[in-house]
Amino acid sequence: MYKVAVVGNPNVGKSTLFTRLTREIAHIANWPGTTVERKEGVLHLDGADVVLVDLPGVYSLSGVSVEERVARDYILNGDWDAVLVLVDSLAPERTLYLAVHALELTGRAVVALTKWDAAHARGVHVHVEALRGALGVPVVAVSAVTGEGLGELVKALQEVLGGGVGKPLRVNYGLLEPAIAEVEQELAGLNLGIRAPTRWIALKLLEGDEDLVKLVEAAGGETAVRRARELREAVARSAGVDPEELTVSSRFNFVDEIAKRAVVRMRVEKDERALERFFLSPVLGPILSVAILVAAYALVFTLNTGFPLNVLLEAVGLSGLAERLESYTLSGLISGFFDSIASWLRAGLPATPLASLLVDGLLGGLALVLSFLPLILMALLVLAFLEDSGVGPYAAASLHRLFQKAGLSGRAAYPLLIALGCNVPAVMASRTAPEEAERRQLMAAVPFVPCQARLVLLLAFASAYFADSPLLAAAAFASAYAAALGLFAATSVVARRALGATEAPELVLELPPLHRPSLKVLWWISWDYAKHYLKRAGLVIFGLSLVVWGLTSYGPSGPAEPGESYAALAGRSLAPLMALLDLSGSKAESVAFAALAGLVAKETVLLSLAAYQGSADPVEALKLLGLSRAQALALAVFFTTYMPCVATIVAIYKESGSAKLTAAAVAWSILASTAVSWVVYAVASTLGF
Amino acid sequence: MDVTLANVPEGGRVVVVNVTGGAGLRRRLLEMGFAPGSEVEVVANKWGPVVVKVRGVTVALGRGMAAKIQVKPVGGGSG
Repeated sequence: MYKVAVVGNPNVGKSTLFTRLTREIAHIANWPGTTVERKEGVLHLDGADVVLVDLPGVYSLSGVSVEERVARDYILNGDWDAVLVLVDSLAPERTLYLAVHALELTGRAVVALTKWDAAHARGVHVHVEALRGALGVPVVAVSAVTGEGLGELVKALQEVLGGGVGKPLRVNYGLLEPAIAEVEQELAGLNLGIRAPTRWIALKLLEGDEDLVKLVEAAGGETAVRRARELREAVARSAGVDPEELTVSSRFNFVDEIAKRAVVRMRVEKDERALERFFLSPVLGPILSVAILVAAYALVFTLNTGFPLNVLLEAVGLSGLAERLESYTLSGLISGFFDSIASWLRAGLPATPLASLLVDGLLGGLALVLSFLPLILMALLVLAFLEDSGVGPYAAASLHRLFQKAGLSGRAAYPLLIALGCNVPAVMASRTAPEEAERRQLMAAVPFVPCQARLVLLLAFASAYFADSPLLAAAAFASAYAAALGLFAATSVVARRALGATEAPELVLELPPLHRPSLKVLWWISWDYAKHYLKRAGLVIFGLSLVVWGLTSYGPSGPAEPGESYAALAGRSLAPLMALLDLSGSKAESVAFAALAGLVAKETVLLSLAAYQGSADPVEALKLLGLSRAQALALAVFFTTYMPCVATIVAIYKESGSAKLTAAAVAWSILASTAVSWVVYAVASTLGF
Repeated sequence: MDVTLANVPEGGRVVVVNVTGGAGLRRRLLEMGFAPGSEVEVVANKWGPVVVKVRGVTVALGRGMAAKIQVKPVGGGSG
């Protein structure tokens, strides 16, 4: 079986081509020790299967970012048989840079010119034969949208895999050439065990690349390292520029030489930039961006759960219609389906612990996992659409200034918005952040954003304690949201400090031309991710919900009512904490129990509270607690922020691959929410509520 | 005074002279196409990020980033 490493710039159309070639992602994981995703797919050729390894989108193989290091390490040490390099036919002057860089490392390569269908429309003409002559490896023009050139690309790959290998490319580095030759001599006879020509290693030493310096020193090449350092300084002195800049400029000069012969740009009369300009205008840009993002996700969530349309309908007094809407949404249909199976089983089975395990435990867990699936699938689909069409990057650019204040970049708009519906896909969306620290920051901060389930909780509190005054209810609502979003921003800032980054992330964001993406390919990509979510996270969520079921239906003396279960016992031991809010006795116990039960899903907080007090109506149950308004507000804030639900915790762990980060995020959320709700209580009771 | 991308008006066309800043960031900008000699067109520069076109690609740069790229007018002298 052969392996092909796929490398290309961000926005070069890599995932689209990858999906088009393999049809299915065979394997998704993270590269070891990072949150950078590693995808593999299989290309079936006559006789042999070829595994395509999708390397992260990078601008070069310099090792500046985590992504670049991952890509470079794989090229230098991986078990690939050929490299497929992607060049954007809309921007060959920039994207050829990476191709040149990669081809200096190996001639076992094929270059694919992507977006071939769009190039002519945009006035870019690339002479494929000239490019092939200049690069010395097969060059194939392809379009993932129309499928043009894919067969030819596969044939070219087969040829290279069968041994049709070219020589590594030689770029003229001008002033650096004598130094390169000298270091190359020093390196002669040294075996570093990496897949790179000596010339490339010499160049890297002259650039002062720390990873390579370490590698060469470990192999006994101290003299080469020392000589390279001397030469580096000598060149910097005599030429007035450092070798790093010289190598980049020389490579771009090489690219410009090729482009002069192989690329022609024509002026296109049609101005496609009108919408793009609109996005970039000072006031309307951010408004348009927020409107598009909100509309997209409101649609997704309405189809899935009825939210936010159901809340609106209820607010104008159409609660009957709101209920009808909810029952016809995807998650309504799924839970309705599982409810009817459950009641059918309950009617047919004797009321034994085994039956409870089957109906409440197993079936409940399965329903929980499946009810997330359509939501995640559609959230991913919208995300892919926004990203691929170019709308997302434009929106991110226009919102950047706002998000900088929370130590985030404009791209944090997606996860934040998705989180208002559900935290689980929001944690997954953190991967759109351009840098590692920001990704981890978002994962820690996202759980504070009140999801739909917690909105329902807030509404119940409002109708139980603030119903008589709409103004007060609105104020309570606003302060709960402000507290939660404040915690989101504060967590992000604190996490950024803790991760060692001092400045807010600066924006360097490519804005691909706005265009209509291929829906078919978007669907394939999203469906693949959703399936992998089901496999990776589903099992854990299912298992944990079984554990919570066990803790709420068993006590020390066997099967028990909720009030006597292990969870209730634990609730009792946690009850003293509630003294912070001046809650004691059975009130404190029932609140602590509800908080514990709410770990499976925040939807269950109210139900558990009601079950504990033997009441059917959650709002009645809340009223039975007899809280003061200050207590009610503080408790609402606490329930909104206290701890991510099981599914979110699993998502954080799966996405970050770090148990430490997951534990820290959970511990921090407990600590921060307790502190903030206590402050809310103190302030509200001082104000006389 | 050095002219940087941050203070080039919309529609301006300039050539990169030098990129300053920390090693990693500098290298990233160079390799994204802001190498000395590359031509840059400023698409938007009013509020928020500076949006430019370089080597056939549109890029949004935070203002701090844009201030690290020193430029001169197209066809202008050495400084």
